[in-house]
Amino acid sequence: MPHFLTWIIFLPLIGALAVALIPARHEKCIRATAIGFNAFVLVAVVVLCAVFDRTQIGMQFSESHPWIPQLNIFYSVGVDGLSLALVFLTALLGLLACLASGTITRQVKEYYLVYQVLMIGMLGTFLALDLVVFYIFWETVLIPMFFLIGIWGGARREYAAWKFFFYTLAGSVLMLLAILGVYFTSTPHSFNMIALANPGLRINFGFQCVMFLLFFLGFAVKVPVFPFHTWLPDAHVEAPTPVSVILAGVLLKMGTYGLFRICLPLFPDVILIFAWPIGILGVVNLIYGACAAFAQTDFKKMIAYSSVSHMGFVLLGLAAMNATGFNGAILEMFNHGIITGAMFLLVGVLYERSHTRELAAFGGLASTMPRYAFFLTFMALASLGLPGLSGFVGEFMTLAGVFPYHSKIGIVGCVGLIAVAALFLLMIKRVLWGKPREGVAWPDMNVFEAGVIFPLVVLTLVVGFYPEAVLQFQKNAVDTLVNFL
Amino acid sequence: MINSLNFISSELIVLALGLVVLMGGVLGARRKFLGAAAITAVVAAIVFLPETMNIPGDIFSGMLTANFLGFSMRAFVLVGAGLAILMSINFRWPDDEHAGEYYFLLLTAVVSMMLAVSADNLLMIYLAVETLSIISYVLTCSFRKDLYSTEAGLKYFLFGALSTGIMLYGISLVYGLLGTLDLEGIGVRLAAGGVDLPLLVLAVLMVFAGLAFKASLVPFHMWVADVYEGAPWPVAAFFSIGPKALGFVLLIKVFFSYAVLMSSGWAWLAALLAIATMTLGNLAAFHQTSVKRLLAFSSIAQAGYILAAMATGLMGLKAAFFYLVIYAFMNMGAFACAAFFGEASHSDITAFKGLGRRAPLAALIFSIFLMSLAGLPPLAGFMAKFFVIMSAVAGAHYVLAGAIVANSVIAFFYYLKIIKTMYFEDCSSQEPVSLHLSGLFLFIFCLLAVLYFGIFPSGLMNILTIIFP
Repeated sequence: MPHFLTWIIFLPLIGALAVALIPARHEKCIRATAIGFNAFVLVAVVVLCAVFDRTQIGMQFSESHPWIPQLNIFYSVGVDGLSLALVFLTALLGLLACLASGTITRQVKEYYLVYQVLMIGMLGTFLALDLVVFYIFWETVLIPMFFLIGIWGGARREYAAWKFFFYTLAGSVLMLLAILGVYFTSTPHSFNMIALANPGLRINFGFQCVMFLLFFLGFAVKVPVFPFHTWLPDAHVEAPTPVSVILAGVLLKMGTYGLFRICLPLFPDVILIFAWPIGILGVVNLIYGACAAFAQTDFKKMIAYSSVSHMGFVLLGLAAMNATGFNGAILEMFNHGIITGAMFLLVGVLYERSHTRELAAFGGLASTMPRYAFFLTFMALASLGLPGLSGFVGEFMTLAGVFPYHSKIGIVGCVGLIAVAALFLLMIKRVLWGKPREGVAWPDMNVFEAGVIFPLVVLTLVVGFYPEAVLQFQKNAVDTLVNFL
Repeated sequence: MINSLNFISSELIVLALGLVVLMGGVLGARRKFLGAAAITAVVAAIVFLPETMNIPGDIFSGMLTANFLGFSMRAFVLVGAGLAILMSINFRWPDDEHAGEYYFLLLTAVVSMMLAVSADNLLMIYLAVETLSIISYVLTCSFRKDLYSTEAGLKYFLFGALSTGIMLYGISLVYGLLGTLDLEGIGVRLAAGGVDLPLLVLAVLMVFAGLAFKASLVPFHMWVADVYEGAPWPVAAFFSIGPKALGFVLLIKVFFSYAVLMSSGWAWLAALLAIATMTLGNLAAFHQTSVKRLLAFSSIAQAGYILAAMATGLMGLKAAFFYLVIYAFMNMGAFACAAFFGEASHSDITAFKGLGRRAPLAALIFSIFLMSLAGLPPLAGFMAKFFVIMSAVAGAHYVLAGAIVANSVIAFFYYLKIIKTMYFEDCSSQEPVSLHLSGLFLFIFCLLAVLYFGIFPSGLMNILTIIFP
């Protein structure tokens, strides 16, 4: 099918136009339309996965049309093993979060409109092959997210929205400078990621280092890497539940995706030197995130900090600079999206009932909400890396990858793993076990809520027992990445 | 002579219909009718414009010149004026306002600007600019009984008279040094050398000051916020586009087209002024509580980006022009939307609360213009800024590129502040604000331009390649 990827990217645009045309008072109709279009995107992406040729090396379904020929800017998109998993993740969480958006009661039309625009930005970011197109999609995500947090968020929504916006914006303009720097030092001038990865184009090492750092800073804000992470707890906590799911599940991956898609192929010599610092940053993320999560009394903030911790694993996998580490990192990106997405959904379920996120307000829910207790325990175990569930595979592979080369980092990373495990067990204890609080009788999860989380549970199990289900897609992409080094 | 008259046929049409409008006003014609006549004048002039493109020979003994730069700028001026007139038609004027005189003055300003952009002689440039200035002073005072408006007019007059005086003095020095006012002749004389350099630099700086005043570059920007605030919205919108574009085109004509003057010294001066202009404009806009003053300072900052592009060579000239065209549409759109919401001459930002709900469509369009001004992809403002930064990086002006980038981050703060007020803050009144059909036309026109040039910028770039081969 021609223009398959373009259709996937811009299906939400048609959805947005459809939503815009429905009068604001037909809220149910608007919601159904938005869900329908997101389901459509998911179906298209599933078809994409089905017809994706796992044996082929390089980009598939790629298309390239001259956009601004004077400057050699092409609209080019394509998919490979690295982006496929993330596109699937985006489409899946996009639909599930949309289903979970029933709690949005004011300005419904605007909400779904902005949500669809957000989808375009995310899908486009993962599929773009031209740096300018990539940048445009990357920036497209900003404004919808600013509105989603700022209008439909919690008490401190305005502050959180500003903070999110300016952290990311500051990072991305640095990236813009780097994009231009790369463009002007390549001959012929090009924005194409594939062409720029050609070793023949590399110029002097010092300039490469500067460009790498600019790119890295841009991505580091999004990941977020340790000193640039402070926007994350605010944004995640203030955002409404479905938006937190998207933030944690998809937006963070844009940063790590950029590291793999741009930083590594374009500057392999530089990244080899920076592997050691990246590994240290990964460990810092891992341990700092877990410790910070420990200290939280707010359920949602706790999950938010645990995201920081998990993204540390992805950095560790990158720092390994070998196939095992890369495989683990990419798998961890996918798993983290699934697990943390489910976690935020679960926090949302509880918040809907209690209207508080204070851990102290909960306790003994296992006896009153058994279904909820099952899901929360399941996801917490997946998150802390219980063998048999998906989290374990990714974390194990990143550590296995990093050990042979940076064993000290690996050892510290393992210690960090203990902190993560302790964190989630403590959370289960505080929320589920103990004596039920008096006078509290919240209804258990209904079928709809459970249905939204159920696909994530299935995926967690499948990947946990049969990681090859995901790994087989990314094998060639990982080989290509390793060949760059 | 016939050639010369043919060449200015568009200008003559505008002038003739302008006189009709003036007479119509005296005879008591309705305001709507006068506005329609003014629009007709502009449209007729645009229709006639292509006829004047291929006229050979000296026009008015070399006072004017026929080239593609002048031609496209005349089209630009006409389109900008058309938008300003559309905005004037929708504007709610006080009852005692003399519509005939207002439209006549606007049309005469258009004529003087059209002559200025095709001028090839410093004297002609001075005459056209001075005509425009005097008309501008009067237009600023359109609210005759409003204290702010008259004060703004007086301020504008004092600053303006001083700056044109300095410019005239500079021109006279040039004449004394080089013996000619013809731009081509000046180029030949400069190439020949043997000129008293310090005096020439002084003279050139004086001419530069006069033009920089029109383009609202720091440190000649003092008048902008007060004049915009006092002037009626449509006049402020017109000032932010027409005279500013004129200032830049004349700067290009007088300075940047001559390789002699395009030496590194001038590039440095332009780069420094550009950084000062955008930084000061942005920082000043930061704390404004009046949306009108905020937009005024934002227009100063935008001028900084355009000048920054000019400092970087031929590719920069294209980027500057690209920016200028897109700036005209997005700034006009933003002014029109702001005028629609903040009808009074000084509109406090608190008046914009809750508009996201009360006027969803207009608020959305306003937000798009503001985001385009801030430079958010995929809107045209991003493309414009992208090309400017690109030309700065291409010319290895890394400091300049960094300054532009840092400034665009700062600028997001205050543009978003307006959007935030419209969407995040609720107003006690939930009464919907309705939109006129003709007002909607102006919005949609500018909106389509902003979207089109953002998504398909290559057509405009092709035209620029013709202007600056």
